[in-house]
Amino acid sequence: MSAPVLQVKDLSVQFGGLRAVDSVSFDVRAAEIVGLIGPNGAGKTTTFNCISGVIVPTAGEIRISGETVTPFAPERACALGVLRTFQNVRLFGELSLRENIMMGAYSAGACGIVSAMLRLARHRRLERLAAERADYWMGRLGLIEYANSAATSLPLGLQRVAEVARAMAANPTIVLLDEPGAGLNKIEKKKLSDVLRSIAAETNCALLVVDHDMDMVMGLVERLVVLDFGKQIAEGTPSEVARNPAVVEAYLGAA
Amino acid sequence: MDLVSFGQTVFAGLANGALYAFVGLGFSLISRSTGIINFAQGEFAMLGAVLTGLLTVHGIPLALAVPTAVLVCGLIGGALHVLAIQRAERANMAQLIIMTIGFSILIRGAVTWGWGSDPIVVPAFTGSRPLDFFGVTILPQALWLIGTLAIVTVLMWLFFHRTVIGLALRAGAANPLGAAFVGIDHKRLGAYSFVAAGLLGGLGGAVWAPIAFAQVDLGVALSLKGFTAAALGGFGTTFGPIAGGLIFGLVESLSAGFVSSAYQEAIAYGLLLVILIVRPQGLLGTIKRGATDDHRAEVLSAGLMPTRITRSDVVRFAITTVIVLVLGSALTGSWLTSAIFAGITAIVVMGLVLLTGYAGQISLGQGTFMMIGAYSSGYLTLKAGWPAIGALVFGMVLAGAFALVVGRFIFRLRGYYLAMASLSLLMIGQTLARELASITGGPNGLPGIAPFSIFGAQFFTDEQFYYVVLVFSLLTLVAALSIARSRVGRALLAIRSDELAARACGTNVMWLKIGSFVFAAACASLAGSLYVHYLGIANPLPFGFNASIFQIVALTLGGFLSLWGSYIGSAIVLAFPSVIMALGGASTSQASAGLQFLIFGLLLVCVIVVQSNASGRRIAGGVRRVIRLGHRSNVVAA
Repeated sequence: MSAPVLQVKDLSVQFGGLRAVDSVSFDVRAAEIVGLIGPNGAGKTTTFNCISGVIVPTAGEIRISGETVTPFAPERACALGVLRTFQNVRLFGELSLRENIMMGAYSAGACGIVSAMLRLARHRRLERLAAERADYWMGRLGLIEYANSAATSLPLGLQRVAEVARAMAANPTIVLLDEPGAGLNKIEKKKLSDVLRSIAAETNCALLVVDHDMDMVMGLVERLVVLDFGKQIAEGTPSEVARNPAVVEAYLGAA
Repeated sequence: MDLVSFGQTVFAGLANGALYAFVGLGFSLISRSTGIINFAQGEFAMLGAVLTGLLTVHGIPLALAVPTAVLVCGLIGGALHVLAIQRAERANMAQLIIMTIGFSILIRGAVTWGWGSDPIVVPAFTGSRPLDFFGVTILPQALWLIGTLAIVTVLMWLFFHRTVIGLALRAGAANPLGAAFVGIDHKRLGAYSFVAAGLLGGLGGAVWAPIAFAQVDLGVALSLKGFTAAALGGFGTTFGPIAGGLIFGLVESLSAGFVSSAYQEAIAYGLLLVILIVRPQGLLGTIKRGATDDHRAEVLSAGLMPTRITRSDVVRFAITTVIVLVLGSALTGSWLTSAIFAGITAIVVMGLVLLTGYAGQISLGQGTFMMIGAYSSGYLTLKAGWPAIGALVFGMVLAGAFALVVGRFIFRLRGYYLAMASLSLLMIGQTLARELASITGGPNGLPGIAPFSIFGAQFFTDEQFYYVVLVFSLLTLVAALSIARSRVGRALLAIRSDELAARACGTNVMWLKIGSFVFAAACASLAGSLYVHYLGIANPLPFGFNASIFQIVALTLGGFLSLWGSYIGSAIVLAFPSVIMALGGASTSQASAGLQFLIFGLLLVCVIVVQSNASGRRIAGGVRRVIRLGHRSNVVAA
């Protein structure tokens, strides 16, 4: 069996005297959907930032497709196959929806200012590639009718789908989703969950979801990792985790 | 150098340093209260000096003149905030920078128009008989300056750290929204801080003026040096600008004494560059992470810029070509001359559209690259017998290479710091151009440059040279358009929209910024080469800070993201002197230049207000939609 797409091994992050993340370990395999949950301050965002390169861990390592990558700069994440979405949707306001998704394919090849200026074959090829991927994902996710609209003028639900499309246009190995359900109503959340599940099944891409929203997470993920005060307190399927007394105590307090 | 001379040099440095400290304190005050860096800060000091001088010349006693002048400076500061800054609700950093540059030009233009640029002698407070301190000559006025500075510093520290209002100002700067929730009205506090900065600058200028003289040209250098003082010491502290100013003054004075007075400016600005790059938080400041790393811009254009060549691009290109061809046959005399200069400026501005508009980086130093082109063309054709076109291309390559090297360092900076760094670079370049006489011919330059020629065909009349400029500008337009309407242009717009998200998509932000910088440098070099072939002489004068102002005004009037606008903006800027003369608005050419700057300043401020104001943008958007020729459809080339 091939190596898991993402391996987090004994990850620790210390800010001064505070252990924000304390020896967290888990794997994510291809096409798997894993959720990272925990009460506020549990260390989810810090772990998330380590995996996307924003923070350098104090100890432990992160492996992508079997290779150790830490420490790495956030701009390298895309090249490593790690794409992410943001808690507050960050689409490019100056570009249309289609162009936003095309930006996902930007790193598919190197093409600098000279190639662009002279319209060399390299540029034309990369543009065709980006256009194909954008058109594919817009079609797949039902965004075609908004292709030429300003991306930030769409309703939030569609913007979140668009952000996912942009990430997918990069042909990622794993997509990190930061509170994808935030700001959505029940119907939009269900739609987004369906979209994410179908994407994982179809493309073999792994998904790591960080969220507070239990309804969304429980219905979406196959496996959960639960953090509390930086430590890993549980791991398992949603139903297993829901029955775990340590988890119940972390969220609700001791009975 | 003996001890007495050394003491003399040190004291002179401290005196100048005290003035820089006053200006720097104003920078720091506004920055701590509003987060804005007021480019016009040096002009407040200039105003303080000039107004004091004018009042005393008209017979008003010093004891009345100084407070009046200082108060007027304060009022002007407050007026700038209330009338302009408060109306630019959603201006982003680039727009604010340009707005404060507008303030600076406006004040300078008003003074030049009203009075002129002659220096005014201001009487000293307690007489000008120098004191003797162990052989070192000390002007009593310098003691007044340093003493006033000391008192002001203590008062400022007490204000910021021991009063509620001071605390409120600091809170408001750190978190305007949160401060608003606890009842701190940041608009009012912003206005007060501008008033105070005006008072500070004016006071410094008024007390310093008797030491040298009052003159309108002081302002720009003081802005730069005051900024250096604040940057060196640390913007966010009270004592930072003091320490920074005194140290800077000392370095300037000592380098004049020990190295050479000619290079004194270059050394001083070099120091600024080093500080900005190596330790931007200054000696006493602490680094504030996070806020500056996460840059999301307010959407600039009313509609979306296309990133592929569209039919409307082809149509506009055709229309532009026809218009400039027709103008070539229709214009004569001074209008033709203006058109030639406009075309040359447009070439620089096209580079700026990519650098400032698309990549979002403000450069006030394009003159540096213009000089590289100018002196390459001048020296190689004159002294080495190169053909004009070869020298021109060489200049572009050299400028591009220089930009590549400089870019690696300079793009660690952002916003105001980047603008100031680019201006420092220009100042250093100007000094080098004046001093390296073997290559550049010194301040008088390299005269006798042959008219532009290519493959034996010479273009020495205005009519002929117009077509040379026309062809080169259209070529530049095609090149710039090709970049803007490509995946690179799309990436630049993405970076401008949300740099963090662009990074997450794998764009190499640094390389894209540097690439735009190199392109803009090549454009500027081309323009510089054309300039010297037209004028027949290469010297530093046309490529200084004033040229940068024209470029910024042209860019702002034409539209940050519009390449076609670079023609329009440049035409407006270059046609101005003729228009003013024709309307008879000024009696002398100096006054006319002043009026021109005054209007430019007003235009800059007004355009930014319209751009960044919600209702203003709706109007602008509506106008644009009418003019637009259907960009989104009819893609021609990918």
